[in-house]
Amino acid sequence: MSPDSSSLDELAAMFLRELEAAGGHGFVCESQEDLVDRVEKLCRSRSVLIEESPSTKFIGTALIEAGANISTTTNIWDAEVGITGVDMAVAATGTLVLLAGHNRLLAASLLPYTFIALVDRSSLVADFEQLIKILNDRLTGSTTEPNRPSAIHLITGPSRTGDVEMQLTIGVHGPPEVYAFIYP
Amino acid sequence: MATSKRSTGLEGRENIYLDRPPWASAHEEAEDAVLSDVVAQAVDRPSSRKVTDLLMAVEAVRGGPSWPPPMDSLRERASAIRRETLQDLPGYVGRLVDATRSNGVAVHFASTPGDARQIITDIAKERGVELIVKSKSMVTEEIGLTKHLESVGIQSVETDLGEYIVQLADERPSHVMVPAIHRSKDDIARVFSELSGQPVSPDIPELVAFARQRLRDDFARADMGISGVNFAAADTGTLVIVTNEGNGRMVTSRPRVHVAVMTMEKVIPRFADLAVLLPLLFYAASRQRLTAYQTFIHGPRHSGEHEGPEAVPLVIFDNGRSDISRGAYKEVLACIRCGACQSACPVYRRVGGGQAYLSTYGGPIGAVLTPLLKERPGPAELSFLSTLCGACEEVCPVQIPLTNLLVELRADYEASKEPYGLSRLAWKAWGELWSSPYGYSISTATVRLIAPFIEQARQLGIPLPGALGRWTRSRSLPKFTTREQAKHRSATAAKFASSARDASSNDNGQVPFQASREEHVDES
Repeated sequence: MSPDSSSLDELAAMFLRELEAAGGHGFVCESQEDLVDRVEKLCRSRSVLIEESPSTKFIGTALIEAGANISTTTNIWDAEVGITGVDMAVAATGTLVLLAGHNRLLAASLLPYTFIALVDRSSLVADFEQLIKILNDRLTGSTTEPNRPSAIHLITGPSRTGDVEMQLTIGVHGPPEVYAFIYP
Repeated sequence: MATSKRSTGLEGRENIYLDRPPWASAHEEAEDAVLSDVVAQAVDRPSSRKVTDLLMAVEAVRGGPSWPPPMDSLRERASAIRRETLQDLPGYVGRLVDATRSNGVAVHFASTPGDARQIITDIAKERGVELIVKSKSMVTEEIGLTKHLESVGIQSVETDLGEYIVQLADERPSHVMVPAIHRSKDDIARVFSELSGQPVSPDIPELVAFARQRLRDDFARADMGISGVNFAAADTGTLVIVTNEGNGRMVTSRPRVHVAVMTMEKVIPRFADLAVLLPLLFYAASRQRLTAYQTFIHGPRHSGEHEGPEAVPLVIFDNGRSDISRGAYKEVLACIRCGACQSACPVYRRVGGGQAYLSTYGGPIGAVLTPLLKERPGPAELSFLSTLCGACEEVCPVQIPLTNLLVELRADYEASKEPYGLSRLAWKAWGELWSSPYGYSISTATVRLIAPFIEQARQLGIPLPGALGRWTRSRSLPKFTTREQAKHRSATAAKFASSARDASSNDNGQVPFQASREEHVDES
């Protein structure tokens, strides 16, 4: 049931729109160079925490090759930018979905000021209902053995609160800045 | 019992001037307060006006109790799911326990707040815990957890911004979604300034940045995180925790132990039900499509994962809910804690939030639940703190018949009283007197005769005896008319009402509230 290319374009456009509405920022990258260029701009002169996964490996290398002025921190609490891949992204809500696993460094999506998510275009799903259905199949094992990661995180835009006089304010404990780059 | 690790977020809190009334305290000072006195004081607090204004403004933006598609059908489905759960609560809890255990979660049962305190304290002590970070949870309020942990020398820091503010000010939360709704930004700036010994600006983004900065160190150093649970799926053992701030993610992933605490009715039959319940919860609570974060927890860190706690104990808390689930009031357990009934309730708004209810849960849901949990205030007091206007039911995402439940609680309470108490005899005598036209005429004639004297005494400040004195202390008596005058007035009113009805019939055919009220007043 994987959507064809034109419907993926539609999903990508919807995802970007919804992420912006939730207070995040999203871009479709035309090429790997475009992606590296955009990430490099956000990371310049900042300390960066990057997970080691197939979706992020080339970014780290490319950043260094590009001679980016960044540092990879030893203390995860000091990192200013965090970069991870995502397991799914929900178009209708602008939601990023991260599953705990040996590939994922969830701290990079939570602790730094800026979170950059690298979204494989083919990981887009239509809406929240479809997401729950896909997760449900995985968790209940209706198709395979049940597979339950210790945690699943759904992230929609920046951290926010309405606790002071019910005024929406961005950036409490999670990242105040969320960027998603969709790559082909 | 000094510990080596102290909270950074709470450092300096002894310098905060506590300006709250004793009954708003998080501690036992509230226990001797009388509800009627507290309500009278609460109405007069300047912050109550602010809460009323804020919630009325929110209500105006929301457009009242509206259930546009697809929310109307989600509401029907959610109501059915919650009732299905309550049909066999023990069965679903049993399935949840099996699923969570197979996921590597250690399950504990607590039947009373004392049990829960003991279980959680034991877990903390066994694991050498010195510092705890908490995300927002009503059940831990019900347990009285933070205070107890402090009494055994373990600091527990509230990390939800609103909860952090009320913890610093030593108060109970006043709204399930917006705990510090009664605090203005200036209040909060004062609390933060006294805490830090540095002036803090009342600019809201700066207040938020202050909390982010102060609590970060505690997230990094805490040994244990405590969270509530929004939903727990019986088939997969998934514990769902939703937040906007990100503190839920912090407390469930950074410390080495994560204790999840849930009341038993948080169980839902299937993970798939989240597709209905989560969007509905967010819509009802804040008209958001999704909150910033939903965290689905299955258990401790697997081998090969980089992060996550080494242990995830789950505490399932009963506190009388098993009994409630077998009785006439079981629908109260359908509640998903969205807070919509609180925001919509005119009484709740007028008393400036939930603190004036003197209970863990304020507002309509609290007025029903508190007496059933056998907490105080009991049914004699709390079930009467409502006008039965029904606004709470209209906004309830799972259609709990709150006004019916309140009426039933009142009836149960009345039935439980002494059969021949003084007030019962008085009502009986009144009933007899007004059963005959002569008795009725005599009583109204008597009142017409003495009313001017009472009013005069009142105006001259002459104290009147007993209930009459109390009743007239701040009210003047209504003008009493003769039958002939009343007939004339009611004819005029009927004419007015029918012309108002004509004027409004091209809108929606409903009689405007004002006109129908006018009629009612004159007939009585």
